[in-house]
Amino acid sequence: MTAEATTVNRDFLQREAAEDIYYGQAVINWARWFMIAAGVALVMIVAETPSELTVGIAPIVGLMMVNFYLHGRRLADKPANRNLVTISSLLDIALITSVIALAQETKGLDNQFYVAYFPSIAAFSFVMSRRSSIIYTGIAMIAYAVTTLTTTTQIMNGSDVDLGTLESLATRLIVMAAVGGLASFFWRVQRDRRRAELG
Amino acid sequence: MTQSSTARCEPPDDRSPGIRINLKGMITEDIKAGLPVIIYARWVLVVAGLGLTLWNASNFVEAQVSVLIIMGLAIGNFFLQVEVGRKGTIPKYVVYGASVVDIAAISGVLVMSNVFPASTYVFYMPALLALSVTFSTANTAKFTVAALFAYSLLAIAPFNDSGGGKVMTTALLMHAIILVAVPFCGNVYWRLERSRRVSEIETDLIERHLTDNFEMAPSGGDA
Repeated sequence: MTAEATTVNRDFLQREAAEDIYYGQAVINWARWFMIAAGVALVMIVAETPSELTVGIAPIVGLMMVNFYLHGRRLADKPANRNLVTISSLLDIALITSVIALAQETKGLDNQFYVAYFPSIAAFSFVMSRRSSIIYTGIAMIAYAVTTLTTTTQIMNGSDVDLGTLESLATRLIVMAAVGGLASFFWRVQRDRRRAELG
Repeated sequence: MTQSSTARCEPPDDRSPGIRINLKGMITEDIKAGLPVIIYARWVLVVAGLGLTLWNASNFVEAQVSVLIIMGLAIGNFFLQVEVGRKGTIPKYVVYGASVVDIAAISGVLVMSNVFPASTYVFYMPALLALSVTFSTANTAKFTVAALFAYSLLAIAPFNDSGGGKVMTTALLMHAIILVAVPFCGNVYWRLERSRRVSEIETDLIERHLTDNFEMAPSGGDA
């Protein structure tokens, strides 16, 4: 392959990756709206005092502002770049993990907010390259596994391991990996279809 | 983002001169493209379901029924995979029927476990994600509503047995929200990619049309 052909190929791949982010980031924004809805439901039902409500709702309002900004930019045809999309998606994982780790009544494995990982992982894997998706899904899985193992004492109590609770953790981690893998696979299918149709 | 790619985000215009794209044909192509995702999602369900059933089976009858359901799914999926590999024609009703069986199988295992929140709930996610990137928005919505309805109905009894309460109510609400979120996001992506592909094909056809006209036009005015 000549140097000129290599440059053209590199330009095409770069443009394709940029268009993936340009078109696909709406999916990430929508996933975040659902996460915000789940967060509002959690805070509204669990909070018992005005101070609890204030502490609980503050990070969600912050996330709403971030998403208004990002979704607004997308609708105004000035979408965020790759770095901004990645940072905001990592922020999603950090927030979900924090809720699971810090919730007062239900910590770790008993906390059902882990379900918010699924749309977040799926949306990111639809938009980003396979390598980025694997890293992102891996970060989410490690964050969840570490948080759960450190906060749910019944899984590992000294040398005793409770297989029942460990099974729940394993199931969730497997499905997290599956969701990321399937979304990334479909991203590849769509890319191949586009290339084939354009000849 | 370049100016040309910005222009490509416009919705496809059917009034483009001399260019027609058969959108009816694309529905079948979309299902063909998404079918491997459904098949892989089902393999995840089969392998993970079988492993987890055999790992920690508390009730023998429950384990037997679960293994039978999983084996049935595996056999069906094997034939579907072979047909895809052979590039054979698969009737639409087989694809839709297989997805109904997926949702029914997950719901069936949920019924047998009879606990809330059940660890099996998460298996709805890959199944719904896969069908949301394969089927049209209307069909995805039907499957999602069916899964939501089935899950809500099946969760009522164990939810009441556990005493309900704030924590359980929150869990049920969050499960319902995310059960809608995953197929919704999948289908938003499916729609975006569809319009993107149509725009790119149209742009490509217009470019070719212009190039052909340019090449066929008489050159120069000196003669």
